[in-house]
Amino acid sequence: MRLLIHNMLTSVVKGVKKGYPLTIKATKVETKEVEFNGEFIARMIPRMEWAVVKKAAESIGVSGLPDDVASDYESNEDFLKLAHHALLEVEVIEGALQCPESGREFPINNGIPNMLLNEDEV
Amino acid sequence: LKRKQLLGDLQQVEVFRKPKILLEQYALPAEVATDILRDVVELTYGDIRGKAVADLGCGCGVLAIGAALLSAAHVVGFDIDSEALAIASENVEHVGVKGVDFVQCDVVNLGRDAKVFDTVVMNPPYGTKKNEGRDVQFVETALKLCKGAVYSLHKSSTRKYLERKAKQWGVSMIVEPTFANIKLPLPRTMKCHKRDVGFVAIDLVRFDCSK
Repeated sequence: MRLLIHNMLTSVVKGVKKGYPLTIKATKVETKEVEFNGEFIARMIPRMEWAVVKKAAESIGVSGLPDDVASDYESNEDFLKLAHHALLEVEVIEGALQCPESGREFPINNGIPNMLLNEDEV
Repeated sequence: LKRKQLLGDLQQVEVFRKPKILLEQYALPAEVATDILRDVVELTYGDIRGKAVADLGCGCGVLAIGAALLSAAHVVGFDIDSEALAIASENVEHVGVKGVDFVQCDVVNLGRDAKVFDTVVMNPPYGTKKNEGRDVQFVETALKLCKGAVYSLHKSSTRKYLERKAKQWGVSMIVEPTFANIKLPLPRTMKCHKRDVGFVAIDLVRFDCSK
């Protein structure tokens, strides 16, 4: 699970109001180089919750992201490269995502988060 | 990317070992996936190269992998079934394609109401048997996730109904002329199938949610 995906996942357990953002509890993280595409990252930035990206990145050992999206982010290559690394190059392979309200954990195995709920949780 | 090469790669994609009837796990033939992705989605509309693409109900991942082969910037396949996703992950490794991620979830229960993707390509359950309405729920979810266009396969018999729905949702809908009423084979993968191969008439529908 890359942070690009973490940013859009929520917990929809019955009774939970927001269920977002999910806390990452990683036991295995891998970093793989991905070809940089600045135009793509610039297009994705407005679709992300940046504060969530930053916090999630820190929780898996990726530091150095600014608190806020750079105001000139579309042309700011340094910023886009940091964002690219955090969003696409770091991958949680094993671990879990935890719902901030219910504490329910969603396992991540082989890089795939399992967001399925039991029948009594829907 | 040449048609022959894409087709060759997609023909390596393994399909369901034991299809589940309730999930309508019919694998899309590699030829159909190739022509839809290459000729329609990419060459006609330019909706793959450099884009964020989602495949809802990705099954063994043929559309997701095809999109990645056609240089999507990032692809996410969503499916409810862990066995399908395990095969899909193996397929990604086997074909040797990068930038494809998977999420296990009930697609219609999917998270944050954010338009993260540029394009959705999907072969949803057609909403038969005990699944009535699943096809429409998939489209509704896709429209929520997507800023650009949703490409989705539907039984041709539901075309009028979908047109009414599209009007309600306020999105424009067209049936791709080259993929209207195409006959998809349904191999005898399940006990309830009496004949070896049946056919179902399918439309490739494009919903434009960019406006």
